[in-house]
Amino acid sequence: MSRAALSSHEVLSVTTVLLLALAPHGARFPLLLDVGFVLACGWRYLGALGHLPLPDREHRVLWLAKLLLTLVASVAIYIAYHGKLGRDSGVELLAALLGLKLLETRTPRDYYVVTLLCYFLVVTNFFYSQTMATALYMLGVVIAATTVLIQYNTPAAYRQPRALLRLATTLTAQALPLMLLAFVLFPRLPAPLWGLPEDAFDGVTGLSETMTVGEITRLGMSDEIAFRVQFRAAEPAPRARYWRGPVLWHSDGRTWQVGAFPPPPAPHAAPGQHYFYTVTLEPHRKRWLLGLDVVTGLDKGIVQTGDYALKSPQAVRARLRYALESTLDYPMLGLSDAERSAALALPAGLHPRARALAATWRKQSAAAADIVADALRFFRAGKFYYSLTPPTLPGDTVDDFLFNTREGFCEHYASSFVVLMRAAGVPARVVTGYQGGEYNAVGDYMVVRQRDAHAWAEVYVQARGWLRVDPTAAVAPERVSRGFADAKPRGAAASGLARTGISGRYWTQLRDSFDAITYGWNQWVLGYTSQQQHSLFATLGFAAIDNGLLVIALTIALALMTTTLAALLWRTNRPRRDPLSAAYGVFCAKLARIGLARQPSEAPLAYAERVANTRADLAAEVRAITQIYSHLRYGRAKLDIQRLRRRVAGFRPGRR
Amino acid sequence: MSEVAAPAAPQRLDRHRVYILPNGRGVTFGAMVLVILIGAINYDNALGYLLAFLLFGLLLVAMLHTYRNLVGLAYHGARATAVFVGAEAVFACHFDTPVQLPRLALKIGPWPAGMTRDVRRRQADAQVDFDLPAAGLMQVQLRCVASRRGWLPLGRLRVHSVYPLGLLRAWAYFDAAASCLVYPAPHGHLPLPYVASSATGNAAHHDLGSDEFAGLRPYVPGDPVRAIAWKTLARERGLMIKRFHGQGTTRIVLSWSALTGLADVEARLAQLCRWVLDANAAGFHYALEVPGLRRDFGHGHDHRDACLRALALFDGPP
Repeated sequence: MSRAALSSHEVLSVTTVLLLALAPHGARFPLLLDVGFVLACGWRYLGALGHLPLPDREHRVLWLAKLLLTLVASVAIYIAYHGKLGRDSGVELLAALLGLKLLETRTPRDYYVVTLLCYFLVVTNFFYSQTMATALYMLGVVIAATTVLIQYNTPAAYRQPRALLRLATTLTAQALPLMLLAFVLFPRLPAPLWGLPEDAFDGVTGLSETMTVGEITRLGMSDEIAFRVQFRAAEPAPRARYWRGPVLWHSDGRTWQVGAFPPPPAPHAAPGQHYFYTVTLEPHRKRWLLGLDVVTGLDKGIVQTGDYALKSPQAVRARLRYALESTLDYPMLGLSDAERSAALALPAGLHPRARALAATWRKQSAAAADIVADALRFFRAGKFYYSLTPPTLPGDTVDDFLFNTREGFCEHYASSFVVLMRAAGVPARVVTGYQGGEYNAVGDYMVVRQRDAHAWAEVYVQARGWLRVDPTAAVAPERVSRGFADAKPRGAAASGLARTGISGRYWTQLRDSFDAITYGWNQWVLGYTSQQQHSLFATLGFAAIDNGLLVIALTIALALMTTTLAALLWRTNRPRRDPLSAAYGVFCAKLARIGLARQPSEAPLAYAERVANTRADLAAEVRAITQIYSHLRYGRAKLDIQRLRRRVAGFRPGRR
Repeated sequence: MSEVAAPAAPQRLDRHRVYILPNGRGVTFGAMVLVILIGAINYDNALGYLLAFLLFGLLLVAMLHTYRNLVGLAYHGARATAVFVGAEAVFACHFDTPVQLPRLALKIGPWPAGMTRDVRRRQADAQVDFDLPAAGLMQVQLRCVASRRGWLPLGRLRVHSVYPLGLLRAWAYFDAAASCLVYPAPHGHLPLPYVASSATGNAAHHDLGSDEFAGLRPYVPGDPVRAIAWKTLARERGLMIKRFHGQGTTRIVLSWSALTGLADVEARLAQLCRWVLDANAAGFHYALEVPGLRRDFGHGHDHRDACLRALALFDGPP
């Protein structure tokens, strides 16, 4: 089993696959890491060609230098991430160590380790992107890594690159049906194994009356419908579709909760467009209802709280339909002392850095508008990222987010913005709800899904009342203009693509088809969760399927599929029959059916004569076919085998 | 030299005779797939699931391909030329595949049952790589050191392969059904028992005379080419050898009983072996006498091989 040092071809291919697997990370890595990795690959290849010494035991200085580099790289990453091993730091560390490991791949074992790590690197990409393009690219990387494994195991005489690639593609293609079966049947756990929020799934069907950082992210993954809206006349523009839910006042530094205040003053006449619409809310087992911000007219039986949220007298346990009227620019005036003190309260002793930052703004200007502008500028300029998979914040959620990770979802932005406002003396509160909604042209209604769940802030400005500020929009404007995850066509007018200049029917068609495919991908691949799995089996007629049954079904399905594949493979494993003998065999079989079977020892010509003697009526045809056969078999004349086949096919001997 | 052949019906590997298990690398691969799957479950990462299942599928598919690489392979027996003790016996093993599918990266070697771990490792190192082209046949040479005279059986053979991914090992056994004849090693310094030593009881006879032509005798394999009577051959009277007076043939008897000085059986056989080779090289006619067996006077390859065979298979004085 032991083999000498790896050939330069082997090194080149494993290096190529490694670079392919890491390429999508390139833009995310620090430049130094990118450059270092490429240099390591080049060094290893030149070393394999014999142009450069490699850092092994023979070159002790180089070897020590490599060891030192390993240490430096690890420490640099450790410091850059403040010692936290998260997603980014983990991938960077893996890449750095892999680049250095590459330099000392010499045994077959090393070679295997690096190739297997290529497969592993594929999955690290999925923590950043799960688009169809990523999936296809990574399928390519899997095929490339498989090619590398095959190359290693193939004897030198058979190593034609095309043949290796073809075999790898064949193997992967044959694995695809197994993959699909397992994907559909493998039981999905409704809860993560560890590390994600503990209360992850008790309120999965919608927003709750508290907000813990990380909770809306979970809703963000769900394609379930939250409610549908039918407008009587006009509908608001996409960026104005804020659906108000519970308003949160009280924070303990991590979790926000609703407040209880007297109802607002009776609605007064408001300027601007009025919207009349009906909401069909999916049951969520809570009392609050949703309405377009701000609701100015309501059905009987619905209560409006002091912060303009809506409540039903009972928890919504069945689909609920209610009619509302809203005005977009309705001034929410009035701030009682109780409300003011709640809107300025901060948990004692927490968020020191946020408070310090807010104090500097406050020093420059006491005007609320200036402080809001300062905060938005801070978000815009501070390299903040909008992310569906932000790092967890075990410490001070606000300070960690604002000054360390800077990567978050709407709830991170809304809550930290409110903390900054309160610290600067501006009354502020968090509003949760939904933002967006896609128009369904077929049904003529708007659909709002759980993934549209959103959180924003409101600040109180003297004489103007509560004003909405959406800090998420400052960081990721497309979140508000196009909606969550850019996933679904929102009607031609809503899409920025529609106005890019290349207009026309074909473009629209192309875009719509692409959107439809993306939608299917999101719904059926990315959104295939425990619930989707159960509803899929429910539509197939298996209402009460549990995980045990799924495992049994999966095992049986995989066994069947593998057996089918095996049967297909064995077919090609059978000796291929000579086509000429096969055609002649058909002829003999036809004669055997009328009782004139050929004897094993009988030569074709002798057989033909015997048949001709017994059946004079067949003599001519039998002799002719036998002659063609002998010509094909032994003759020099270039005859077409098709001629024999046609003649045999037309030969229909009947019993006498 | 004589060939010891083992013609037997071909042994074709059907599906029940091929075994397959993941090797160490396959287990590592499986562990990696499991890690990916656990990560996918925890982070509910759909593409992570897909990747884990794709790699798992790849492992299953690789299993079928590795298995198929051996199924249908046929062993047609082995041939080995006789050797002396201490030399390497070379078994030429014949394999074929009937299908349009090359069988790559096969390894073959003797694999006796009940080996200890150390022996197994040594056997694994001594394996021979070979590839069979599509619908092709191949002769593979297996070597083993002949340490004792007599028959050296090849025993059980193991063929195995990890092709194409190197993650699974398929293997199967053949009964080699072949042996190699091992002659005693030629040893000893005693001179050939010539005429002069006839007093000791060894018969020797000299055809004395001048260089006159003495007639013809039939050809025996091993006769020198220059002694062939080409004219006779041209007259289609067969292959004859010219005999001359004075060139005469020495006739000696190589006898077990002449070696009473050597106590050890093997030492005696070694000396006799030495004598047979020397007498044959000198072109003498010689006879061999060992307890229970006598080979009459003769010369040439066949006679030599028959004598050596008798020595190889000698099973002790009565």
